[in-house]
Amino acid sequence: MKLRNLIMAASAALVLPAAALADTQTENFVKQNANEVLNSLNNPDLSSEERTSLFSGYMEQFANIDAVSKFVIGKYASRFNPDELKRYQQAFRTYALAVYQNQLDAYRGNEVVVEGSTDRSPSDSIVDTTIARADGKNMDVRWRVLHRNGEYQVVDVALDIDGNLIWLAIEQRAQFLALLDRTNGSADALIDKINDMTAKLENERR
Amino acid sequence: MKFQAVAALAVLTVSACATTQPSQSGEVYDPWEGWNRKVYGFNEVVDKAALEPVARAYRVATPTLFREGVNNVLSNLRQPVVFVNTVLQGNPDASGETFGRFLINSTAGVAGIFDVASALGVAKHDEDFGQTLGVWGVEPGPYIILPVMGPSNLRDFMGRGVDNAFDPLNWTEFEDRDLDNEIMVTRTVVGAIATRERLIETIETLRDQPEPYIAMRRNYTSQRQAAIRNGKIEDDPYKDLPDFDDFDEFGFEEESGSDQPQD
Repeated sequence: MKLRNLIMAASAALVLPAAALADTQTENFVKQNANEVLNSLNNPDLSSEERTSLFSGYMEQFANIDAVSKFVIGKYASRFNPDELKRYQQAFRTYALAVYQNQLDAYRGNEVVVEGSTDRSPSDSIVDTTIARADGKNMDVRWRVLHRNGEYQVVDVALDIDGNLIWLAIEQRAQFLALLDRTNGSADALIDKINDMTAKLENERR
Repeated sequence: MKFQAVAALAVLTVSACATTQPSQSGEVYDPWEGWNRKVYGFNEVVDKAALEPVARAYRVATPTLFREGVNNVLSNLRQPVVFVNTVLQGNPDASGETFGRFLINSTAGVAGIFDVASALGVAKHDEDFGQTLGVWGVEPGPYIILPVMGPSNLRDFMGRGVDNAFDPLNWTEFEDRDLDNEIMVTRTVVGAIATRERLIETIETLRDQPEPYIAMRRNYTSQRQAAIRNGKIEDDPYKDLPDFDDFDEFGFEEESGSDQPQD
């Protein structure tokens, strides 16, 4: 019995630090990159175009937009032909960057504080952060991070709205799939809608 | 974006039938989608033709302070219903705060025009019988879009009827019977205009979505679930998150024979 307890204790000692280390690395990834992204929106010396360009560059490193673009169209990712998929992914990339920029612009210049994290699996974690808003309240923002091939990348972001976690990619997916179902899987219909939404977002930008 | 008299017995009977339907976050049971979409289309026509123009005119014609006063009065009139539901939910702190709010705002707040209670730090609660049923474990049942009133579900629709029965203004009888009707009609009309005015930006955003019907259905359902939890995030919020592994740049593999999960 003593030997069994000793083995269990030794196993736990080996496993626990590894798990804790994985959490810390994921949390640090979010903390560093999220702060860089928010700071990129807060440079008064940059023009609007330069700010968007800098922000987009950080987001391309921070988030896996290709994975998100396929996730949000589900089964249609394998039904679009290569040309449709390419045009869709281009439209989606521009749209996603505009969504993130407009959403995160409300928090520009504020510090992202990591509150903790949850590992769904060794390669799938949620990092819980708070960001101070201009009205003095803290916004609860959660980042879903996948660890692949030695790299971390964000695949979804959730905002806590009165206890209701709104995941951006999951909401997009529900609506994109409904639109595609309604239009017999028309890539052009989806691309047109995405382009309309992007234009509106860009018009709203400061 | 939120959004009738029925017997309590019917609530429990129908809800018992609904308990096998999916209710976890992200899933919406909408067996009457075809009908609901028609009602949604009808509501859009009515809204664009009547409600929205009136709400916008109300915003233009009145100062913010006036509208806040109207919203405060309407909110204060609802406090007895909120109070009963906090009692039914077994939440004595919320009951005490709601009772205190009603007393303070009805007196010092001049019939509810001024929200003195909030200024004094008394918490505000928003409870209804649909939420109470949810606290008791009753599932939402089928999603419904009500003509003019908007999104609901069977549980919340039944709850509206019970809330009406709880509302003192609905069973208090004045000597002048015309006054009863005038109070009810005025409150309904003013309430509809004030609510629509508060939702101008929300509904604009909703209409810009790729699928406004789907967006509203998901939003209503998840907001109601959060309200039942009194704004607390569910215990295990990540349990139903979809897997990204099949969707990355290394290839896509759809689960054989399965469609996408229903929103």
